[in-house]
Amino acid sequence: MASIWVIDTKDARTVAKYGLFYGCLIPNRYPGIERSIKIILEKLGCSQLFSEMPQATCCPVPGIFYSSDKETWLAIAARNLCIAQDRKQELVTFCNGCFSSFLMATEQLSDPKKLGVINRILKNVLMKYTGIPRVTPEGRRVLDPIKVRHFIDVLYNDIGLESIRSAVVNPLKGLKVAVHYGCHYLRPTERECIEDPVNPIMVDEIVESLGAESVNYENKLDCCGAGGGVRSYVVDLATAISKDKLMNISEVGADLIVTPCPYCLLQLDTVQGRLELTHIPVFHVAQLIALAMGAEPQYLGLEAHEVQADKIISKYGGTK
Amino acid sequence: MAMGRARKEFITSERERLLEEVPIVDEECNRDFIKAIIEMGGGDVQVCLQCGNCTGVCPVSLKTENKIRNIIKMCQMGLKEKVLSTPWVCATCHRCYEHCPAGMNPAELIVALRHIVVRELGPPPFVVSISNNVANLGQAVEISDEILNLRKKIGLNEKPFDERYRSKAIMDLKTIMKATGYDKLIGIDLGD
Ligand code: SF4
Ligand code: SF4
Repeated sequence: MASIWVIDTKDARTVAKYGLFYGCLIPNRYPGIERSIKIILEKLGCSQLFSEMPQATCCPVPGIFYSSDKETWLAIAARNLCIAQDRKQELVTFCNGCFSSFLMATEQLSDPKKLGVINRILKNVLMKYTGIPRVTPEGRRVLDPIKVRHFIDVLYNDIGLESIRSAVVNPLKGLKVAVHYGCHYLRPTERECIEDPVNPIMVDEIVESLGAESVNYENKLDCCGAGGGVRSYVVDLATAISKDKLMNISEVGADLIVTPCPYCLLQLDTVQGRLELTHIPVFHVAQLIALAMGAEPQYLGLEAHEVQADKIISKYGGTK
Repeated sequence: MAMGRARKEFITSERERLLEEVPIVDEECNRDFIKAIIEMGGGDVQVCLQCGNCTGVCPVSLKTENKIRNIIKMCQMGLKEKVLSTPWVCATCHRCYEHCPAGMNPAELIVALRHIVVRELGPPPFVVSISNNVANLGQAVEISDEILNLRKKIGLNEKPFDERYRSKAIMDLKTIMKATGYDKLIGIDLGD
């Protein structure tokens, strides 16, 4: 295994197209996802296109900040966007919550009045959100809002399924995967979304490009139950919503749940620990891809998960 | 493709209370409430047709007596006291918005109600504690010793963030929260 890279931020200015925004849950609760991301980018041979964002903070969580004071929420989000702006990068998130927070923020910042208010606040920390300057073919200077990307979008549209397929060394033949997209992947904002919110396909196709089978189940696009403060406020309700999903997933005989969001992962995994009705391991998409690309299983950080994945690991985990 | 059907379960034993069954007295109707909702960015609840599409797709409405259509109706009538206990029971999943023929965004209405609750009744405890984490750590989630160890074991830097950047970032966050008055609103102490 090659060593972990951290690109110097000065180089990143000129080299890296994407800024990696890990958010809160990935580094502090599921570090295996962070490790998996690095492994994938190395295996795909494109790690030089990505740099970390050590100056970044919490996105901030929409269920807390957007729900209690929109101005504070927008200013903190804009501060993170400014970091990508200074480095002329696209901001890549690995969490549906961060994704929707930033997407909403870029939309709101396109309103000059709001932008003025936020920039007055950001002045106190010596920052200013403008967007990235670009000259159009007609020679006009314009400012492009920061591009907010979900990792799935980057994998599917920029890197491509072919490249993923050719980096697979442990094809996940025979593995039945239930994909859980999560609400804020599908319905982040009013104007923009990554793909059709009633018929998303990108995660399913990524899973299948690893050799696994993506199984369909009832209520596939339903909420995990945790979002918007429900998990913190009325845990029984969050549990009941998750339980519906888990029962449906177990009925179709899935071996594994895969999600592009660490918060959905947290909910669907820990709820199973409490209910003890089903025992279906839950992975972040990055962890599954890393496994298929031959990452040593201990690097996936699965100890942090409640439902253990020993069977899957012993079947697919060999490095070849 | 096999499609299973698991039994749905309703999480409260309490009978579903329909708004129609509760007599409403005039004094309860607060006409300023709609204005306050609009001011907080919740949109005009008067456009709601009461068709119930939002409720039909709402994961919360399917499991509790907290029906989003009823909440909107109560807002239309200005029944402020009745709705102020409901807004944190919403996953902000925006399914309601996708299905609303009137172009209402019930999720945004819920966010506006939360703003009103925070200002009038105070924030719920989890909002205070997570805001505190963000102000003091720069992150919503605190790291445990086990995760620090796990990070090291799987070959990452033990601390997720470089301390030099971290302390500057936290200072920035505190400055922002002071500038917007968030510390006072939520009741968190940011020091000097
Ligand atoms: S956003 Fe809230 S009200 Fe709307 S469907 Fe989701 S849980 Fe229901
Ligand atoms: S879908 Fe729209 S119009 Fe129909 S009840 Fe809900 S908010 Fe009202």
